[in-house]
Amino acid sequence: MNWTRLTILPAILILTTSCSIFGGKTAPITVSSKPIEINIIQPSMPRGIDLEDIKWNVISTAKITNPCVKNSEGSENPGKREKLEDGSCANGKEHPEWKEGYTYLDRFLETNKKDNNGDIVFMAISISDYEVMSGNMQELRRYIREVQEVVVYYRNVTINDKPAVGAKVKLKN
Amino acid sequence: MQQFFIAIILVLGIASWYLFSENQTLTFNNLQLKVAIEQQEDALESIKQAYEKQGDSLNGMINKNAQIEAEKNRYMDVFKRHNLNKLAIVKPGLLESKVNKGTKNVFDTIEKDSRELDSLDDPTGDINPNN
Repeated sequence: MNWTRLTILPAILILTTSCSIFGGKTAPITVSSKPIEINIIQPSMPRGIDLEDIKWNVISTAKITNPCVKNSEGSENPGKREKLEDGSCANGKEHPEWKEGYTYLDRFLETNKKDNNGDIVFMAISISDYEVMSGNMQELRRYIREVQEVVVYYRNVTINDKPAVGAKVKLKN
Repeated sequence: MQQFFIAIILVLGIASWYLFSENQTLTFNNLQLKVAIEQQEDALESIKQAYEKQGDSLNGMINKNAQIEAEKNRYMDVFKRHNLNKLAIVKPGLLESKVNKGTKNVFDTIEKDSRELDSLDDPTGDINPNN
């Protein structure tokens, strides 16, 4: 009888009073997970820039070369800009209407006058201001390109091909 | 005595069943937690990849911006190296063609730059990151 009490009863005691018994029945857990998707709608990219070309006129008081007219094909020296002994052109000048010492400024003013019905009107910019404007244009281009890179960066990091998954563990009641 | 043993066996049986069911629950929970850990690892991997992607994109952007800045400085150097004033006085015709060509070139590059951005959402575009 003694051995029974000494062996079985402690066994029952251990089996029935282990720690888990005091905590109540172990609840099964449920694991739920849902993908964290960041759906960012990508906007359509702006249409490319269309720029019209402009024409710059560089004007100075430098003389415009007014060469002699070349000899015709059938002449003795075809293609040669022949001059007479006194230095004048044998066949005349290419632009006979240009007076001696005709400059780029003269030509510009003449053309401008013709284009504006006898008035002379134009916007002028100095060389140094042209340099400043060119620099500004490059600065604008730099800004456009850098902003463009930022757009490309955001686009790259917000286009998700694999959504991140977060898991949440909770005890079932 | 016999009744006592029957009682002990009964108690042990109930206790064993209870512990067995607890064990089952714990095994199930363990399995669930393993799955949860795997999912968390996947999530972490995904986050890590996203950070790497961001880091790469950021580095790419920084490098590109440095190139853009250098290109701008290279263009501006042209004015430092040449005396345009002198050239305009002596050879205005030559400078005129250079200036017009340069302006056209700048306009064309700006147009081209903007086309690159426009082609981002073009599925066949060269710089589309999804291609």
